[in-house]
Amino acid sequence: MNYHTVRYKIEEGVFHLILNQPPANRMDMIFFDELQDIVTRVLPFAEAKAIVIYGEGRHFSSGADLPDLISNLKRNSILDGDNSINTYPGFLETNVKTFQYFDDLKIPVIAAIRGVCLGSALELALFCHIRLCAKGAVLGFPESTFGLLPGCGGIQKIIRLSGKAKAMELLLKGNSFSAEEALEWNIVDGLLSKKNVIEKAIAFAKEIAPGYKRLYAKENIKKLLKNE
Amino acid sequence: MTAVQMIFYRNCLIYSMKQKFDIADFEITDEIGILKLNNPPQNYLIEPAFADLEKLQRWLNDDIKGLIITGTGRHFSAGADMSHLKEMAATAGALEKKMTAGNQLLNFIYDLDIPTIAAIKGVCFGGGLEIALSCQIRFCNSRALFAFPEVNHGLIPGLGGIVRASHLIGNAALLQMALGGDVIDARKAFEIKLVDAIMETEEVESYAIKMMKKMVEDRSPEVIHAIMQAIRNSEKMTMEEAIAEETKLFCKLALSGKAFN
Repeated sequence: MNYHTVRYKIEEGVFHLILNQPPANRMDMIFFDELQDIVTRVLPFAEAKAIVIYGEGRHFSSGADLPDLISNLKRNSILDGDNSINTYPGFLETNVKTFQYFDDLKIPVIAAIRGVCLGSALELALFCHIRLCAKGAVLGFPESTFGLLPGCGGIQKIIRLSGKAKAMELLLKGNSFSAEEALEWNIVDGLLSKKNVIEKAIAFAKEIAPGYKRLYAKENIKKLLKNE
Repeated sequence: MTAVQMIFYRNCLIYSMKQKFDIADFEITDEIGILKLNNPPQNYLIEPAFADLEKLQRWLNDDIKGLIITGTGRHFSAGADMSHLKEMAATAGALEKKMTAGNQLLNFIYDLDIPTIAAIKGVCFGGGLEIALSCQIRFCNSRALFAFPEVNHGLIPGLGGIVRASHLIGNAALLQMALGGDVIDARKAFEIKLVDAIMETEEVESYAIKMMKKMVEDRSPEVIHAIMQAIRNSEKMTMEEAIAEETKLFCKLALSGKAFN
């Protein structure tokens, strides 16, 4: 199947899911549509033994196309007379289901992060089982600087990884932070070099796929990082 | 003086007269409220409720975007004054009533829709630690000490200390503190996540203010409330429900017209 905003390939049982609108790999409405299509019509039949998610080019993704998303929301929401929301369109809930699909999989799902990983992109990464991150990467939840918040579960995920206080600080400040800080706050699980984070993520996926138990997934990361 | 003037001044006096148990002083800096426990040197709590809840609610009006709680002088608070506790315990119903008032106050602080930071210097024991635990974030200086000494008096922390601590620190540390009565230092407190940062050189209170400003300065009350609610939902709901609520909060903000245009 040919998509505009993502591409995929299966090599030696590993499903590569590649965000494909370089350089920013922006997550626009078409992207979310295509991602949903992949998890409903491609992945369930792909017989993949692991999934690695990464971005085409130098970055993972700069996140959602907010003006696009908001105008879509405005067009499709039904408001009551007093301007309160009666119904809002379901595409955000669909996004959550798409992200949750990766979280619920019984095969390893690894995000290989390089460059920029902001907002919805970070949300997607947080729904993966493991996050391997390149040094020099820049991560963050800038939504509050736009008067918003992450709306697809990123808040719940970051609380469980980094604790309430750190989550509160990062969400309200909306600041970006480094790969090293992400590692310190348990947002990513290992640091690798820009050059080989994707290649190592794929090798790691192959290694942990046989007899994969989610609970022990992160134990082998030290071995992986030994030569870094 | 006319009768009206006399009544006016009398009411002013009553309004401003502090209750005996109320050891809280308030000041406001740039939309941030600072509550100082004021019973130096150790800021003992005279009663479980250290402030007048109604007064606190009035003071925390819609303009205040964050709350910092700190102690006057070198310590945060050494907790309950044991002699007062014995007095209160003498009458059967009185102690329970006062403990309930204490819980109401701490629950109110814990449930606030604005970020709360406890800026802790020196001693933070018992009821004092429970006040710190009612805040969402805790910073301390390198000399800070933490403990639940209640067990030494045949008591337990009774104002949510055990419950709130158990969400942060593991059972081992909790038992060491609440059962063993151990006093732990700032390093250990940071290690077990009882506090979120230690100030080696910088003043805790000024750091708390700096951090609070970075968090709330350029944020509308709507965004602050929404983020705080989403965070609170993680404790009140299943993850699935909390995520659904997060999406609703996003839409509310997105459609409010004040968001990214």
